[in-house]
Amino acid sequence: MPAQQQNQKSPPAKCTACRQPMSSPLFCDNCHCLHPADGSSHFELLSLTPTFDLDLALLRHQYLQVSRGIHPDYHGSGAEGDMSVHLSAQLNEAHRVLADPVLRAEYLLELHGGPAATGDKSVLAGVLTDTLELRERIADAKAGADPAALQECHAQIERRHATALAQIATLARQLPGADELRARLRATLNSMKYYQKLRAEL
Amino acid sequence: MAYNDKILDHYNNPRNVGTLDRNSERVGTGIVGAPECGDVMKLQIMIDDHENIVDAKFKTFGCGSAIASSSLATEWIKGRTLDEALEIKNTDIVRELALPPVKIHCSVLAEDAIKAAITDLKAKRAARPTGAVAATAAK
Repeated sequence: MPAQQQNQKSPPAKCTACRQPMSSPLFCDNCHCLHPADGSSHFELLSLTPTFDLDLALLRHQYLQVSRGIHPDYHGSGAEGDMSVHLSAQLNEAHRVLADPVLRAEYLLELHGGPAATGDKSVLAGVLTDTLELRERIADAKAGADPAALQECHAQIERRHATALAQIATLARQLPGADELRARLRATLNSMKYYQKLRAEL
Repeated sequence: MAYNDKILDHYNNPRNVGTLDRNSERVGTGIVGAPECGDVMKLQIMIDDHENIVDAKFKTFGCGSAIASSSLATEWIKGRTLDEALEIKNTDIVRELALPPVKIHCSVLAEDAIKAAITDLKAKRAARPTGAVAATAAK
């Protein structure tokens, strides 16, 4: 599968216990022992190349494959069991983030040095006014029991959401890029939050 | 967790909800948002000839703490001069409403909204020749 070659990283190191090559950094295929992965990126946990254009079928395949290798059902209790639970939680989080295009772009931006959402709250020009106007129109439509107006608001939010998602993808593909690119991606991701909230509420 | 009575009061009976004419030269409009929660807040002020804030309105689409913070902010800025209004700090709002740590950003939003409204008003007036406000008022 060409996509597999494109997205999959080269095989990791050998098992420290049995010296056999490992297909995942988290467990040994040969002796089944677990390996700590603190400090590994979400992509590394899944042996994937860090890129926005992930092959989602491959992501799913890797997730299932690694899950099986580290699953608490196969690693008993005690220290090994604790590690298995810990690694599984890390893996689940990695899969949750990478499977979602907005979270994936957010994560890639973080890997490439930000700016972080906590420090940079800028949005694209006009987004706040636009959000406020949409919310006012929704409130009016609900108060006036006007399903057609509400439907129109819904359609507009979907369009805004789709546009923001396309912009995020375009920018995330160009990472790491220059400071301006990353700042623009930050602002677009911040803007997206407003449309996601609107979408969730309607 | 139980909310403080003052938050509940402002949330259930928000003061000064509404809109002022944003095209008026006496009106400043501040629109701010918190991307982490998707809340948006609009705060407007209206001044007289002596830069006293004679009216304030807000519209907030967000959580109860954001609504209470902006409601309180409009109450506090009415009757103040622009400079006095700028003295209001988010920590004052936190104290008054006893906001929990996770809701401090709501008070920051309210402080930012006051500042944004004043900035908007000053920019609007700076763009006009002196006396334009008085002339409009005399019409």
